[in-house]
Amino acid sequence: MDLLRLVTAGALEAEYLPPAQQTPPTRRSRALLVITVGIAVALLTIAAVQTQRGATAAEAERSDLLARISKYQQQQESLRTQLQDLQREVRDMRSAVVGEATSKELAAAELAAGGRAVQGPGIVVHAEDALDASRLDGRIIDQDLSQLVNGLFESGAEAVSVNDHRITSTTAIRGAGSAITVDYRSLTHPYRIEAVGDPNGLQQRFVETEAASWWEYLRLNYGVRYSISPATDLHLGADPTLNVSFARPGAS
Amino acid sequence: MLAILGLVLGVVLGVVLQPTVPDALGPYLPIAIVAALDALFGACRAWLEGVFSDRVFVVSFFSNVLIAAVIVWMGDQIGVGSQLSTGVVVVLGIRIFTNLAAIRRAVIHA
Repeated sequence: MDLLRLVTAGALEAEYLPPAQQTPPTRRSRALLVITVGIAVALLTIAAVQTQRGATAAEAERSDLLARISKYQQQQESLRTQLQDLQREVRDMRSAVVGEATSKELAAAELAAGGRAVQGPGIVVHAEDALDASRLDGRIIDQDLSQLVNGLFESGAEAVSVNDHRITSTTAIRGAGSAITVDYRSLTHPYRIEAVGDPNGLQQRFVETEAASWWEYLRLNYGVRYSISPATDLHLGADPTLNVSFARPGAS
Repeated sequence: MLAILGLVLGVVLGVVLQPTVPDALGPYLPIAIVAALDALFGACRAWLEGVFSDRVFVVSFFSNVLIAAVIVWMGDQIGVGSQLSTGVVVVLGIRIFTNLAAIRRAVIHA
């Protein structure tokens, strides 16, 4: 308390003496007064101006970044559509050039690899974060989704897609910040996982997989919501990024 | 009168020149400003109480600003980081409050 008293008592400089004990101001001291006040106020103004300028600069930078992100996302989407068109064109041209038997073989291979849009019966899994999901708890993460997808393949699914992104053997399901990305495209929840396969056996077999027990554990302990329903006619798109850059055919 | 002249001069200087503070001095500017505010309010109070002396004001202003900046710099050098600046801000803040209270009493007698 003594310290506080000291500070408050000394708030006015002790050198401010009654006028009787002061030396009268000279011309020089008056000039110094003006300069000092000027410097003090200039300091304040400079700081205020700089803070203001910094804030507007940061804001401009932010909106510029946002605009660029959405621009490139659109560009990426249009490139993907273009790629799909070109792939279709290539396929048509190829089947015109090669023989009937070869193109049939090729089509079967593409179908199995996920390079072709497919349709057929199967099951649909709806998954959603917990109602009271916080940043750390009750949110579905990339590993949960990849477990689920693996479980579907394990139980005999022939084609799987997550939120309309086709999953193939080279698809990456990863976490990026708070979002899950499939082939580096971010997903938004709720997640809808479609699997084409034997409609009768798929669901029963899935329930017995490790993935199903993992999701049951998530549901009971974290309140993550998920449900499985059969579907008679699912349409799954092709994986547009399906290609290999480094692998070459080896001797068999 | 002279003080107002200085005030106008300062605002004009700050707005017109808009000097960029070197990055090295960046951390010391805010503390220097708090110290300057302290000196300004002290001078205001002294003027209202009729004991103002321009010599004391000039000396107290420059010494306050310098000491505040040196304390922050010293904190950086000896590794206590921003904690010494917190100390400076607390002490100067209490002084500013006390002086403002005195100014209030002198101006509106309450």
